[in-house]
Amino acid sequence: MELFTRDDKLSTVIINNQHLLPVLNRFEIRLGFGDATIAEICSARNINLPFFLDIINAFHNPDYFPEAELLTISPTLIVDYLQRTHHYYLHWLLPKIENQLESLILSGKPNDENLKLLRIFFRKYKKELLAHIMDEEESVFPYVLNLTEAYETDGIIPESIRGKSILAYEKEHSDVDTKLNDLKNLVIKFLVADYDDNLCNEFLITLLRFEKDLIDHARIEDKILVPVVARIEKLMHHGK
Amino acid sequence: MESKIAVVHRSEIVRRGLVAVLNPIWKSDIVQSESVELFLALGYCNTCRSLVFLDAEFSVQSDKIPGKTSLVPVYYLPPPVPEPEQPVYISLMSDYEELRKIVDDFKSQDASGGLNENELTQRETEILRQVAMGYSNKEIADSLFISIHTVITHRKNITGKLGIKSISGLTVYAIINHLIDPDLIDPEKLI
Repeated sequence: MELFTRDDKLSTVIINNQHLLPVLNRFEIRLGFGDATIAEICSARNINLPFFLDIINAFHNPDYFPEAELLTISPTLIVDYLQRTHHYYLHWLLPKIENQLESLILSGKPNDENLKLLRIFFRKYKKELLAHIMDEEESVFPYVLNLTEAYETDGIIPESIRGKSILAYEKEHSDVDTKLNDLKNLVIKFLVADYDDNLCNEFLITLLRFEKDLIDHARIEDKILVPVVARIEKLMHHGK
Repeated sequence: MESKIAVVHRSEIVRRGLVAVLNPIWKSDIVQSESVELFLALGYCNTCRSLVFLDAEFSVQSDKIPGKTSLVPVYYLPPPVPEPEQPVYISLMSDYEELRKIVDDFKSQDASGGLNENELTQRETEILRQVAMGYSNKEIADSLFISIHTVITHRKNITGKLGIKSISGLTVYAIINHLIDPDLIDPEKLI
């Protein structure tokens, strides 16, 4: 699969892969950018170009692994991006899925037990996902930011995070991913109920989009954040 | 419907020998057990069509083997007069062609229909039911008199067939498919 480069037009990128639309928003890029190239847009908006390319390529190509020099990107940027992604999930995508699921349930017979099971299952899933996100927001990201600050200032690891490691923080995404995948399969393969087909399709399309976004999100954590932070940890433990 | 071949015999040499001879004509795995009890506990597939090469000494226990099973007694020496109701048998003196004929006949009876490859076997269904009720692998193993390892293998197969991995997801599946009675459980708790 091809990689996007600095001289590609951003409009071409989006036409090529519509899933990158919310990614642009996470960098506060809005549509209406004409024929500007990626480099031009990043420069005009003061966006770190290598990091932007890294993110869209990681999103676009599952096998993409960032170049070694990109590991020098500040974790602060990565955390900022990941937090915006969380915000997008919590305030847009999850409520949307939930609303679509409610419409789907309402379109069925009242008291359809099978449809109600989906609601119970989804709520359980959501609870776990929220716990996972909160863990990152309250433990992982503060650790990364503290470490980065120390690295960029005096190079002394603060007492509060001494002995910790990003590898220990690196939580399994798998449990949360598993449930989403299960939900998808339950609806596609096994759910038999009277519901409005169009509403069910809408629900599934959003669910699939969410699944794809989450996988990419996890990939950015695993392939960019973790190696970048691990590198800083190593540098600090061995003296700057 | 899935077809299976098993060799149930006291002698390891006979078991291994038969499997070695059967391998070129039967591409799938062949179950080996040293007793009928072990076979029923570990190797028997409730919903499969089975061909079982059974130690002739175990013939008295043959009625314990249920389901769609063709039994072929394995004698050490050919019986002087073949038993009338049991025309198919082998002995250690049988040759490759006899075995091949038995396996070919078994293959040709393979009725189409029945279970497709992603449908759960009866055993898997029972295990899924217990998983969905919240039982642990150990509890399931104890209730079915099988090893935890076997339970885990079944669970892997169930997940592979259904595409559902989480216990909550399996519980939803079990309720949708009426494997468990939702009135007897609290879905809010189990899912």
